[in-house]
Amino acid sequence: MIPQISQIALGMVAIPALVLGFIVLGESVIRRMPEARQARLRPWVWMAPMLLIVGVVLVYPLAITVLLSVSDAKGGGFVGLQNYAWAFGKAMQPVLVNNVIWLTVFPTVTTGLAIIAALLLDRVKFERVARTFLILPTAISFVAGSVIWRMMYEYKAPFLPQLGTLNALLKGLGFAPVPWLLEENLNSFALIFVAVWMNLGIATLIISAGVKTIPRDLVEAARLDGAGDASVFRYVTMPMLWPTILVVATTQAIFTLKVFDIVYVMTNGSYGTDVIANKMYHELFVTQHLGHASAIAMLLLLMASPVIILNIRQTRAAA
Amino acid sequence: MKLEGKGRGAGRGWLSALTGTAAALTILAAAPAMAQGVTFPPQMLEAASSAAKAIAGGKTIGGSVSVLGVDGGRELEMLKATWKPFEEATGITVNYTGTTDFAAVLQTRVAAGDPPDIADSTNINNLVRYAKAGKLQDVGAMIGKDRLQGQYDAGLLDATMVDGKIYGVWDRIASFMVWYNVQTYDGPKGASWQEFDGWAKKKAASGKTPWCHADERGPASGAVGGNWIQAYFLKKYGPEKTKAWARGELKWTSPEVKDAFQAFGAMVTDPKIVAGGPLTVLSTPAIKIGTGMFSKPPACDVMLWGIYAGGLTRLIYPEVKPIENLDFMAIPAMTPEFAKHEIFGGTLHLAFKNTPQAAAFLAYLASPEAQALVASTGNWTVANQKVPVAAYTDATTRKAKEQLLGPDRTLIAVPTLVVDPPVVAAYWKGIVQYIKNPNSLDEVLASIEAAKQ
Repeated sequence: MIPQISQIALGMVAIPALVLGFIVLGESVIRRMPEARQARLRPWVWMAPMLLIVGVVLVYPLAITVLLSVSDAKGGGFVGLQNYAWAFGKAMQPVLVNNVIWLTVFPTVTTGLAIIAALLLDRVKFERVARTFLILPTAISFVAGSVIWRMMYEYKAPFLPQLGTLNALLKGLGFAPVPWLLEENLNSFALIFVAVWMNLGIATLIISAGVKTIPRDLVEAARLDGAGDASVFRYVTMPMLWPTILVVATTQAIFTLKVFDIVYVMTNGSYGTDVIANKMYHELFVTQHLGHASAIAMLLLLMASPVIILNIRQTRAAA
Repeated sequence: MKLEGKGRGAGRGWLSALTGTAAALTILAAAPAMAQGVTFPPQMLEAASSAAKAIAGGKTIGGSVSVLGVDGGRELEMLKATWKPFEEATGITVNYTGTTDFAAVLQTRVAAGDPPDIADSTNINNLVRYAKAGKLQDVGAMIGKDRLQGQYDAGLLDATMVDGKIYGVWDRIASFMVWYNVQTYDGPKGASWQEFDGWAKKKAASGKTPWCHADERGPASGAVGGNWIQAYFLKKYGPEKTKAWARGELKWTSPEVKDAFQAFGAMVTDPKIVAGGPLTVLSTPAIKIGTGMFSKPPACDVMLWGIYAGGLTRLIYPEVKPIENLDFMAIPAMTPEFAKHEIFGGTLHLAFKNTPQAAAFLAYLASPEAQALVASTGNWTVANQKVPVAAYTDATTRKAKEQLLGPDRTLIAVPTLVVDPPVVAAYWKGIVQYIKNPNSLDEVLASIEAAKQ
């Protein structure tokens, strides 16, 4: 542990010191140059350390991934677009369909519920207490939350004692137990519910912050003009909240594309619940096919890029 | 303002419900698991402590050793209790990480240049592949061959050797057997599989499910079924075909393997044969495999799993007494000449780093004193032959040691102990798919065969 701490401390001191040293040295060199050249070179000197870091941690791995995506299982021989053909083929189709379900349902439900919760919380005195309860699941890691919900969803045949919380409740109320994680038309939604449970708090918190920025006098002016609750919501609240809602929705969409922990822990992709990130993990670490895993990684990058661009734009607009 | 007041009143009702639901979910979710202590006979603890002190040369070594393995929960508590004399005697802290996705995690850490000091593998293939890649330490040189030779079965020791060097230390050996509820089981004992299966079918026809089975274990779901299929295979097709299957010479799509899958399927997919039917099997954690045997009323009479299944069942039902209430018999054989052949699994300690802490810990794990502690947990049989039968303080493990690991038995490694980890993963995943959809068997077998590299 001590060597690890000293390594971290060294990194925290050495990296900033190196960057600072480079800039000071660069500046001392630039200052001896003619004015016109100084203006051209100075931005590059200041940007160079960051460009180097971006190159090492982002561009280099990306280039390697592109290379591996056109290589064989061991990352050796060139196989052209074979891995991409596989990624768009029969093996991946159910996985892509699941991701579309996640991408449609999860951001919509989470953002919708967060809007409702934020607006209701804004109108009650015990807002802080209620918000605390909503945000509690956010403090639990996705793996721990998934383990908890795996137990909550546990199923046994109707005539056996139900050990899963939900099915015990259903049985107590006289209903038949439900195989939440095994029923193919239901299980992806059961997993999505866990994600909603874990993300709703933070989404509500962000939208609540947006609600607080809506000027009271604007709402009161609308009411004086005869606007009811529905009209205030439609013509005042929603337009004012829209940039925040888009930021939340796109953030949830990015989370959806990366979703792994919940699926891995609760079903490991079995029973028709597999998603792209889990499939990538499986190809990389279980079957150890670097070509397939890298092709999936590229696919994921292509799918996430437009959403990330939209998210960045909205974050800037909201700011 | 009036509207706002109304809104608040309305909002409170909804919010109370919302808050109540959130609170209920949080409280339900946070229910803690009860931890239970592990105790050993004082003289055994004393012996283990003396052995640890001797290994450390009477000095405090200090520092830590990192271990990656598959254990968790109650079983890990037991193991940690067996390591405590070592930690106290040497000042070395054992940092254990357990994962059901062992092969993938190990592969990732080795590839990243950050392997654990020691890995507890349940697969010999890991030993061979990492030894050949030069990633493993020569354990014989690290702790001295005399700590291993003459103390372990020659066959077991041979399995840990690559190019004349020893790369692993065995400790826990898992036998597989048919467990039964003594009070409800009215079937044959020591009979052939045909008679045993006939009893199961008769029981099912009378409206009672004979078999208990459970196979939910996260990424390792399907592993219990994997043991069932391999045990059936050995008892029907014998050691040579089992070894050929393990070596990859007999294909997963072969008629023999398919037959073993179908025999398993006939049990696990029929709600008249297995308690709760296939959905219950897939949804019930493997550690609860025996709960149906002692539920009130009992839902099933027999289960096929490893030696640890008895301890796990008794953990859930502490009133169940070994042998008196929960007993076992050798897995019945389809072919009489294979009746005395038994499959086994086991745990191998592999050293990725040669540190004083790792060497001391491996020497301790290999010692008869430490393995006597493991044996006395009542959860496992152990590999070190110097461990006396008296160390098995639990009647079940003592019986397993005497009967299933006795000199009249021939031990055959389960193929999952030998084949590539990606094939094992495909095998387990395939079993889950097969239980859910029995019509997919050919597709399942082809996918496992395709996982071979």
